[in-house]
Amino acid sequence: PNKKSGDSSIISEAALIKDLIYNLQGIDGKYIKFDVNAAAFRPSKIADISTSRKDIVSKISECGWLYLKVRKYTDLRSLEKSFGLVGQCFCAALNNELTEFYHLVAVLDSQALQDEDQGVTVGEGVLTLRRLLLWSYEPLVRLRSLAALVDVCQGKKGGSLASIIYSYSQHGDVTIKCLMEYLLMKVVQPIFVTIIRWIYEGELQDSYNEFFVSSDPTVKEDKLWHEKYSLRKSMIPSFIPMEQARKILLTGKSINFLHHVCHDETNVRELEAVKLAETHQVETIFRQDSNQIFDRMVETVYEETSTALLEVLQKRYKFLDHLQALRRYLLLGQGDFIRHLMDLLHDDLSKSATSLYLHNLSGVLETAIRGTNAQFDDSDILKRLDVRLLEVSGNEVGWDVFSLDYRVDGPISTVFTPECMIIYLRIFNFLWRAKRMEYALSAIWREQVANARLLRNMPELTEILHNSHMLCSQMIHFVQQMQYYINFEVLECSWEQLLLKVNEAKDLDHVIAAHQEFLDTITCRCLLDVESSKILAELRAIFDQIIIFQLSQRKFYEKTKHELHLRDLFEENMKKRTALNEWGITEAEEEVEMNRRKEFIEKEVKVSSSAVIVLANSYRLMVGGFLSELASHSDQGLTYLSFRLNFNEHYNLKEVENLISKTER
Amino acid sequence: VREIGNNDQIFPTVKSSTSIQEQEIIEDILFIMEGVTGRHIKEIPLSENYGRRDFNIDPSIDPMNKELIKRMLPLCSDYSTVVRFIEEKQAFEYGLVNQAVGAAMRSLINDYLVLICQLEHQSREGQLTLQKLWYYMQPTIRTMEILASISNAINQGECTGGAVLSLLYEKTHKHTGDKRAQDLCSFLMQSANKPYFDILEKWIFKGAIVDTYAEFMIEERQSLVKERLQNDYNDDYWEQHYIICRDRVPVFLERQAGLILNTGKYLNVVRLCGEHFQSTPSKPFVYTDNERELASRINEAYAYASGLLLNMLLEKQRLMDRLRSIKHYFLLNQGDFIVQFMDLAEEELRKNMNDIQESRLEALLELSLRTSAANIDQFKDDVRPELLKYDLVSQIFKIASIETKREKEYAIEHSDENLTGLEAFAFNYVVKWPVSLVLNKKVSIIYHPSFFIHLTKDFTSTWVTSKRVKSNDWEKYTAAFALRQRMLNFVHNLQYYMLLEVIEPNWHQLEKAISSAKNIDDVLEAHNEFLSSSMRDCMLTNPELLSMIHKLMVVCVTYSNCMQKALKSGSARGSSHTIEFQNTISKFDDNFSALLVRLLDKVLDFSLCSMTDLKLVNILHRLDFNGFYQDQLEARHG
Repeated sequence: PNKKSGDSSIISEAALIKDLIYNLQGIDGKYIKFDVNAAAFRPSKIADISTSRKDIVSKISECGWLYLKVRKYTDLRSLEKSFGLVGQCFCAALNNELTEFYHLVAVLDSQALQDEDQGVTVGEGVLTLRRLLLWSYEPLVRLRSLAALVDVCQGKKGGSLASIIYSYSQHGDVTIKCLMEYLLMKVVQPIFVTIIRWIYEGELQDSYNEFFVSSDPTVKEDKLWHEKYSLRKSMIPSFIPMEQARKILLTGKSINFLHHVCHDETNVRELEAVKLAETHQVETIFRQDSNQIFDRMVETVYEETSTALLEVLQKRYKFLDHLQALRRYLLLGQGDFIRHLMDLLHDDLSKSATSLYLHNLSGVLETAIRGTNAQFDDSDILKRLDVRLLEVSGNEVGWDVFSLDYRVDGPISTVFTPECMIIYLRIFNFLWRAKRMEYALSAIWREQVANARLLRNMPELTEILHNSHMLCSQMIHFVQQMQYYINFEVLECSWEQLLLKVNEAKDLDHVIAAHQEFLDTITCRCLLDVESSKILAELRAIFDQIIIFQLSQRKFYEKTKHELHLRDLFEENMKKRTALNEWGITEAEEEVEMNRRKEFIEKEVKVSSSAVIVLANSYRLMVGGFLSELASHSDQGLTYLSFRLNFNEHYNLKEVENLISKTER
Repeated sequence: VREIGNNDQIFPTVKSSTSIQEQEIIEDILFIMEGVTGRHIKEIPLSENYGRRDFNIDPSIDPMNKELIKRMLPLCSDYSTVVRFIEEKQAFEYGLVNQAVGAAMRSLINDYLVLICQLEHQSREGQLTLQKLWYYMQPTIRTMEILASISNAINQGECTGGAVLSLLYEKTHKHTGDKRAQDLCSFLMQSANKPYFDILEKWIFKGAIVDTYAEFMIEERQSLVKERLQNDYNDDYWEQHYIICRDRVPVFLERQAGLILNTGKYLNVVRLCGEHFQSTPSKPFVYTDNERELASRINEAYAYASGLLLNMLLEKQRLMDRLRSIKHYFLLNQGDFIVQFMDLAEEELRKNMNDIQESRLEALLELSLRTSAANIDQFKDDVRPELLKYDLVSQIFKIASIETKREKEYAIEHSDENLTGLEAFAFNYVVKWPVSLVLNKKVSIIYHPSFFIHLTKDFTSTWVTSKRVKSNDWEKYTAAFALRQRMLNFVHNLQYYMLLEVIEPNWHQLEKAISSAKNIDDVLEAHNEFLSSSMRDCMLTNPELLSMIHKLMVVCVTYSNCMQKALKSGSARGSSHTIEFQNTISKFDDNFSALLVRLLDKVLDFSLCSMTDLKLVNILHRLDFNGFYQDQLEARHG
């Protein structure tokens, strides 16, 4: 091999080796320089090197090129300010790897120097090109994967950077796998620390926006739960499942909620279970498919924090009591109170809406509370109960605008949001209306029963009385079935479900979701949603019929009573005179009386009688229409209601449909 | 190896003596061995991707040396193949196993490079001759040959994952005689198995598949959702949500494949139900060539998983209670409920199918559930009425024919427009995951031998009406009543046989089997066994018997209708009608007797053919206990 040393134009192996050692660090050598076009180290054209050597040189110098690539990346990134903690760690880890490489180069270099000093060309420990190739064989593999990684990581940061490294660590080659896991461990460090701080203290230290929980500082505390914190989806590392990310978010959120909204100083970190589950092993975060240490930590802290939060809500802020209060007052659960209130308000509410005054009504409400079992309720709850008048738009009566109200504030308003309260008011309005129908109908019935006896002596009234009794019982049946449906099939069932879910709830979100579902079910089943607005309108029309019927009945009874009174007077007169041994009546008087009676029958009875028939017919038509709408409703509960109302097919739906189509024509 | 011919590669002219030439040749060979072009030996560019590397040899080399070089060159070709293999398989798409194989090979290549450096060292000291080189190369040639052949086999088969493992396994066994080669192969095997066994471990201990590159033997099919189990006839979810990909199963796990599949599946079910479990291997789960140990490890995992699932189903999901509840409704165990329901719903069910309001039926069902002893059943809310599009017999045929050659025959749905509710009615039972693993739709539809409910009912009402007949009319009706009595006898005995002689003992066996079951497959098997033996003993699986029974039923029903009509209208009063009436009765009689005798005959035949079906003979004795039909039977045979 030393035969070439004499030849000056041929470069010696030692010189090539020296060049190559520089090349390995990305520095141009004497003969071998970096060729930008080819993106590789190439021996310069003037140097005369045999093809074999050129070949081997290019094999060795690949390391140099790869090194340059990685180096360029770390240099560029460390200049970038917004690269973030994760990125910094990544660069540091890469540099660490490069240092290892420097070490190798240094060893090689000293070997080469030694050879040169000793002037040995043959013998043990001599560095040759082949040995260089052997030495660079392992580093080449590492550098290759680093360079490939660096290529993919361009422009990524935070969680997504970690995701990429994680995907690269899924490799069958143990060397590469170890290398990537080493990098991953470094990169995950800041994420891990942020998670720990977040789930234990609720503090978010993320000046580079690289964590997967983001916080909006502009959001006020009353909306903290719903709006302040959110998941930054792009930054969730792929080794953290979505569900876990959600739990991490929730845990920190709960802590913040506890501290800032509930002003509670519970520290979950002190708990034994939490202490036991705590871990500082960073790698557990990306080895979740083989061990559950990290998951257990997250799970435990999540559970403890949520439990603490729910407990505070329950014990200090009496969440369940408020829920029950809403059920009792706004959803008419407290029957005696509602009935009493209705009794007290009945006269006021029949007046025009404009003549109602809040202070009067509040007084009435107070009376109603004092007079019923409601007085035993917690004073805090009763304080929140109030009267509210909906906006008056024209000629409504008091019934339409009256509403109970319940004031919520503080932590519980996170569950009972203003949107929820509006839904409560709408439901109250519906229930109140239905209740009023029941109230009105029982008043009619009372009157009918009382008057039936009085009017027995007026045979001309038999028909109209019979008809109106029939109509009244039809209405009562309808309203009672409606009430049954609302009370038992809607409210009770949903309430039961709600309680079950609230008791099972693991975190506040579950409670909120359960409550929302409760409201949604009621809204849907009480026909208050958009889909059923047509049916609701029909129901309103039916209710209106009841009110019309009530008014007409009242008028009719007034008149009949007046007539009855006149007749009684007449009879009494007659008796008085007979007692005085006079003629009971004179002919003229009798004629006057008979005319009056005739007129009464002609004018009042006949008109009222036909009015009742017309009313009954239109009522029947409306109920039929309502039923056929119900039967085709998508909600099964409502289909059952239709069956319940029409169990014996009293309302022949086909006939009704025909009638409707006829009237439309 | 090719001789230089028309190739235009230029070799430097050699003028030096042979000994220098030998040094140069050695230098060249060392280069070529590392995949670097030499001065006198040059590689020919590859024509295809996985092609074998060939070399050109300077023709001026002394022919004896050339011969020796030619023998060395295969090593270089093999080296080239292996290196290309390693580099290529590094990419992600080839999967973890290939990467691991590549990594293992790379460590061998490293040794190879060390050897070259040593040879170079010797050569520089002037101690290496071509002969010596040839001698030193020997072991490496063999190694490289094996590596190259493995690489080629993997490349050709485009193998990934399990297939690579099978290939390596076969190679290992091919080289049983050659210790070194076998060691080499088992070294590769060990490394290649690592990632695969990681996946396997997660599957059999955690029930999760982490298989990014589709290498694992089990594949998850996302398209099958568990909710489908309730409304589809087949138990696809359980059978096909996870499937074994035969080409990915390593040969040495072939026998355990089913076990592995089930282990993971069980764990998966438990996980889907939100249960937490801790199943960890007692020691690291790695590949060993001791197959028995491997099998025992897998068995251990399987035993744990199946125990876990079984426990969950029995304790948490109360499978036994469910089954009992189903028995109430489908196997007519809860007599008062059935009677109550039939009383309530009969009027509705008599209508044409299209006129029946399902919501009304549902309300009636609910009413009867709540007013009978079924009220204490905690699962009563899961019972639903259902109206099928075809009557029960064709439905039973459909079930019985599943997976037999007759399947197509009955596959066409007899969509009959004129069905009455009575014929089309069936109970439906809402089964939720994971109990639906055991009680899926296909199974629960088998639970329908309720087709004679209305029959008994009919007869009872006929009997009630016939009580009204005045004593002086008795004579006219004697024949009719006798026939009615025989039919009643037939129906009652059939019912008795089915309920008490078939279902009850089988049920008892089922309960016993489930209580002693060790894993979920035992439960499934016991349940299937229960169903199929009940079906068989109830004569539901045999089309001939079934159609005969069905015909008998039809005769009975028509007869009962006819009787009721006759009794109500009193048409039998007029003398002209009497004869007509009696003719009708005797026609019915003939028809019924003929069918019944044929049925008994068939049963007799069956019991003679197969001695095992002992239960079936009971029906014969029961229906013909006093030898009433004996003569007719003998007449048929005679």
